Amino acid sequence: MKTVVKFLAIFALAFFLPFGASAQAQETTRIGYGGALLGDLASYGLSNLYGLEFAVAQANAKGGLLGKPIEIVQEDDSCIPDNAAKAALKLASENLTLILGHTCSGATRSALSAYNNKVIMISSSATEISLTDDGASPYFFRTTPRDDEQPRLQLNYIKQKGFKKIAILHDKGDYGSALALSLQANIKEQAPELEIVLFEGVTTGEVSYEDVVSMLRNSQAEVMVWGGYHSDASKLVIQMRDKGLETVVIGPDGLYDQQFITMAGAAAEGALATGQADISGTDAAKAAIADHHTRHQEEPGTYFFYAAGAAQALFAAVEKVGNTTDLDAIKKRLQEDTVETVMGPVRFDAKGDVIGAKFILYEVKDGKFVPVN
Amino acid sequence: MSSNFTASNIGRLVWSEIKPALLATFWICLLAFPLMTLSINPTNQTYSFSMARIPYLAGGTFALSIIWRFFLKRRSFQVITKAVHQSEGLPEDLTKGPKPTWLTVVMGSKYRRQGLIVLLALMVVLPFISNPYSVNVLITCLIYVTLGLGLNVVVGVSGLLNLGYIAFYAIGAYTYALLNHYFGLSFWICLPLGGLTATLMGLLLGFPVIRLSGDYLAIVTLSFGEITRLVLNNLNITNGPRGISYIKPPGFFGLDLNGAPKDFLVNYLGVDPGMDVFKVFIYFIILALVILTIVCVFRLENSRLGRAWLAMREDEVACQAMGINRTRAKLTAFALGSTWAGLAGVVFASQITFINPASFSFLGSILILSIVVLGGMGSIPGVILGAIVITALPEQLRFFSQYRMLLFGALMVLMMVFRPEGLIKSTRVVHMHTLKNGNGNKTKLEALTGAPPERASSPPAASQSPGQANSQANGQANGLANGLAKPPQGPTGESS
Amino acid sequence: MTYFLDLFMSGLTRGSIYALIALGYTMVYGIIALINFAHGEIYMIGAFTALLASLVLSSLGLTGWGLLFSVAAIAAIYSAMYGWTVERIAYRPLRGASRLAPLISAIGMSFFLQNYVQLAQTPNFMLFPDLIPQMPFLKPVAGYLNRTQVMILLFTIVSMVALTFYIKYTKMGMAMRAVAQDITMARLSGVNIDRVISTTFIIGSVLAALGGVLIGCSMRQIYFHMGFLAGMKAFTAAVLGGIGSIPGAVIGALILGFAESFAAGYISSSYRDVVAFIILIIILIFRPEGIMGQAQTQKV
Repeated sequence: MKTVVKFLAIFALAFFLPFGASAQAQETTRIGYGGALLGDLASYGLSNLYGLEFAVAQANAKGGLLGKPIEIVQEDDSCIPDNAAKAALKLASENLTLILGHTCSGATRSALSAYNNKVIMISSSATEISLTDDGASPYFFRTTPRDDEQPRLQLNYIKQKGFKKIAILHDKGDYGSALALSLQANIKEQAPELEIVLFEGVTTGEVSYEDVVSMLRNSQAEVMVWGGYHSDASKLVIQMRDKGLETVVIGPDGLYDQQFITMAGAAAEGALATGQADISGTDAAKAAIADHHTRHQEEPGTYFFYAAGAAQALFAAVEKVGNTTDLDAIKKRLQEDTVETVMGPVRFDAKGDVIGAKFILYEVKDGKFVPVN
Repeated sequence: MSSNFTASNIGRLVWSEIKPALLATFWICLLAFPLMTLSINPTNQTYSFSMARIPYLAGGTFALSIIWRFFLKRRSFQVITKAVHQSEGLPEDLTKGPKPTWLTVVMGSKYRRQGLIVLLALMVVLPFISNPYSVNVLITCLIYVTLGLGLNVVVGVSGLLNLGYIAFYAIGAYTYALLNHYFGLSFWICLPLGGLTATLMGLLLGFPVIRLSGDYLAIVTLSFGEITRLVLNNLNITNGPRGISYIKPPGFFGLDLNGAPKDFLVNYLGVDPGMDVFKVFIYFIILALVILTIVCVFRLENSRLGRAWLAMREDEVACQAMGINRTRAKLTAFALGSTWAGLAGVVFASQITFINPASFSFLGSILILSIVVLGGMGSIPGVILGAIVITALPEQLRFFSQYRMLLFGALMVLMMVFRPEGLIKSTRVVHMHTLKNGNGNKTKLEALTGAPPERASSPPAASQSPGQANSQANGQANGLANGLAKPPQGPTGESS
Repeated sequence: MTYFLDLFMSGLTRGSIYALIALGYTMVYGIIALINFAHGEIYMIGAFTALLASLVLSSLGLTGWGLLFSVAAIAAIYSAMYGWTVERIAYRPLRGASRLAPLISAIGMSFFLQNYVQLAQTPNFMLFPDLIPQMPFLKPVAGYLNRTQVMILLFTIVSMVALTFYIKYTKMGMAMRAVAQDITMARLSGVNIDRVISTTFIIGSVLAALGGVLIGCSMRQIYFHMGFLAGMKAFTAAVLGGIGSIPGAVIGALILGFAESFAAGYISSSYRDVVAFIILIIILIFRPEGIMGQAQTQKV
C-alpha cells in the first residue's frame, strides 16, 4: 500500500502541479522574458534580462504600465531550440502576450513557431535574416540590426584596404554560420576578384585551436573574418598571436564586447569588429550605465541597450493602445511611432526590423573599441 | 533493559549521530571555501572575499547529512537482512515468496483490466482538462517513454550499452523534416518511413559492433551518435546548424487541423479549445504510439528472440553455447530498439515544428539512458516511471529557477544511491529467484510476466551463484544478486 | 612539409592534453570499471581553484616558478578533496550495484558540480593567467613549439612514467591491480578496498587538476562547462588505448589528437571529429580490446 501511495505521489508531482499553477490574480502588467539564463551562452541572455529589468525599473518608478506595476516572468531556454519551444509554451500558457526574447536565432525561431502568432515578441539579439524576411511571424520585431548589415561593412573595409586573400571562419552556430555564409555570398556577388582561401566551421569549446591556426597560416590569408561569439574568438586570437600569426581579424557584433578585450588581452589589439554605433554618449545611456554599475557591479553586456530599448518601445506602444491583448494595434503603434529610448529613437519597419539602428566598424586600440575613421 | 535509556546513553547516541554530521559539514564548508567565498571581477582581474554564503551552506549540509545517514543506515539494514535471509537459503521475505509490490498487486489481481481501462481513460481525458503547456509536457513525456522503452530493448533486455541512441531519434526527426521540406510528404507517410530508416541505421550500426562488448561497445555507439550529429550539422541539405523550420504538423486524412476544424469548433459549437487542435491530435498519436510500443516490446521480450536477448545479457559465451545465434540477436536488438526512436523522432519533429542538430546532442543519449536505469532496467513500468521523472522533474523544478539543474543532478545521485536497482525492479528476475529456491509461486508469476515455465532451464539462473550472497553479507549493496546485469568483468591488468 | 610539421605539433599538443585527463580516467576506469563522468568536472574545478589561487597568491607578491608550483599544489589538493568526496557520496554507496547505477550517479554528479561552479562563480568565460614563466631557449622554434606545449608534453610523459612505476612496483599499486582483477578476491586477500579506491580517485583527481592548470595556461580561458567535452574526449582516448592501461591511455590520446589535427588540416575542420570517430571505430573493430588492452579469455 505504501508503494502505491509513493507512486501516486510521484505521478501527482509530475503531472498535476502545472495544471493549477497558472491561475493568478492579475494585479500587475506582466511581460515575459525568454532566453538563455543557463548554459554556454548565459552571459548573452543575462545582458538581455538586465536590459529588460532596467527598463522595467524605470517604468515602475513612473507608475508602471497601464497603471499597474510591471512584473517580469522569466524562462530559460539555454539557447537550445527545443528548450525554447517548451519555454515559449510555458510563457504562452501563463497568458502572456508581451515577450522580450529570445536570445539566439535558432531558439527564437522555434519559440516563434511555438507562440504561434499569439504574442508580440521583440528580440534584442536574434540577428538571423530569415526571422523577419520569411514573413511567417507578423508579430515578431527586433531592435538588433540584421546579419546582412555586418558582412556589407566588413566587405567594404576589406576592399578599401586592398586585401586579396580572405579566410572566413565560423562557429557553426545559428548566428555564426549565417553570418559567414552571408559574407561569402556578398563577396561572390560584389567582389568576385577577392579569393576566399579558407571557409571553415570551428567546433566551439575545444581544448585547442592550434590546428585552425595551422590552417590559417597555410592558407596565407591576409584577413580572417570570424562569424561567431567572442568566447571562441578570443581563444583563437590568443593562439594565433601566440604562434606569431599576424592576420587581421574582423568580427561581427558578437565580438564587439568589452569582454572580448578582457579575455584576449594584448592579442585583441588591432582586431576589428562591426558593432552598433556608439550610443553610450547620451544622457539617458549614461544614466543606464551608472544604474547597471550599482546593480551588477560591472559594465553592461553586449545586448543591454538593445533589450532596454526594445522594452521601452514596447511599453510606449502598449501604453498608447491601452491593453496588452490587441496585438494588431500594438503592432501598428510599433511601426508608426518613433520612441525615444536608451538606444536612441526606435521604430520598426513593415517586416519588423528596427529602423535606423546602424552598425559601424570598430578597431581595438589600447584596450578600447575605437570607431574606424 | 531500562538502563539503555539513561540520559548519558541517549546523549551518546545523539552525539554519535551528530558528530559525523558535524564533520561532514566542516568538510563540505572546507571544500566550498575557495569557490564560494572568492569572487573575481573579470575586468580588472581582482578578487573580493565574502563569507556570506557559508552559514547557509553549513546549515544545509548539516541537515542533509543527518537525513543522508539515516536513510543510508536504513538501506544497509535492509540489505543485511536480505543477505542473511539469502545465506540461510530463504527467499527475500522469509517464506512468503517475493515481496508484493504495488505493481504485482495491481497487475496480478483480477482488477488488472479495469485498472488499465481507468488509466487509459484518464490519459484520454487529460489533454482536455489541462492547458497548452501541460499538453506539451505530456507529449514530451510520452515521447521519452517511447524512447526509454526502445532503449530498454537494447540496454535493459539485451545488455548492450548504447550511448548513441539519440542518433536514431535524430534520424527519425530528420527523415520527416527533410521529406516534408523537399517533397512535401505528409506525416502519415513519413511515420513508417522514419521508423524504417532508423531500423536500417540500427542494422548498419550493428554490423561493426558484433565483436564488441561492454565499454568498447559503449564508445563505438557514442561515436556513432556524435558522427550522426556532426554530419547533420555539416550537410547543406539539412541546412546545417540553422536547422529546418516550419515542419508541418500531422493532418487528419488530409485535413489541416488548425484551419477548418478549429473554425468549426469555435464558430458552430462555441467551444474554444484554447490551444492548437493539432497539439491534442499529436498527443493522441503519441499516446497510441506508446501503447503500441508497450504491446510490441512486451511481446518481443517474451518471445523466443527476447529470451535470446536475455541470455545474451547474462552471458554472451554461454548464450552461444546454448545454440543462440549471437550475431542475429545483437543485430535485431539494435535494429528493433532503434525503430522506436525513429518513430518518436517523427512525432517530435511534428510537435516542435523546428529541429536542428543541437537538439540531438550526447546529453540526450545520457538522459534516455538515465530513464532506463533510473526506472529499472528491463522493467517496462519502471521505464515509464523513469521517463515521467526525468522529463517532468526539471519542469517542476522550474520553480527553483537557476538552481534547477543543480537539484536535478543531486536528485539523480540520490535516486541512484537509494534505489540502485531503479524505481521499479524488473519482475522477470524475481521469477528466476523463486524457481531456484524451489518455491511454488509459478502460477502467480506467470500471470505477471506471461512467461512459460520452461524458462527455468535458461542460462540466467546460472549467474546466481552462492558466492554473491557471500559478498552481500560483507555489506555490499544488493544490485548484483538481483541479477540486473552481469557483474563487471575484471578489466585487463594494469600496463603489465 | 612545414604544414605537416605544423599539424603534427598541434596534434601532439592536443593529444597530450587529452592524455593528461585520460590518465586519471583510465585509473578509475581500470579499477572499478566505472565511466567516471564527473572526472571532467574535477578537472574544471581544478582549473577554477587554480585561477582563484593565482589571483590571491600573485596579489601577495608571488611570481614565476614559485607561483606556478604553489598554484598547482593548491589546485591539486582541492581537486583531490573533491574527487575523494565525490567517490564517498556518489560511488561508494553503490559499490556492487549493477554497473549502470554508478554511471547514472556519475552523470548526476557531473550536472551537480557543473551547476555548482556556475552558481558559485560565474557562467561566463574567465581569463586564466599565463602562469608559465618565459623560456628563452625556445625562441628559435617559437612558431611551432611554445613554453606551454613544452610543459604539457613534459608533464604528460613524466606522469605516465611515474604512474606506470607506481602501479608496478609499490604496494598500493599491487593492491590496485588486485582490485582491478577481482574485487571480491582482493577483499578476501586482505586488501582494504575502500582505501585503494579512494587513493585511485585522489591520484586521478590530482592529475586532472594539474591538467586543468596546464590547459588553462594553454587556452587562457576557463568556464564551467569546459569539463564535458574534455571528459568525453579523454574517455574516448582511454577506451581506444585499452581500459586500465596507463601507456594505452597516452597512446590512445595521441592517436586521437593526431587524427583530429590531420583531419582538420587535410580534410576539413568541420569534419574533424567525424574523421576522428571513424578512425576510432575502425581501430576498435580490428582490436576490440583497445590498442594496449589484453584480450580476455571469456569464461562461463
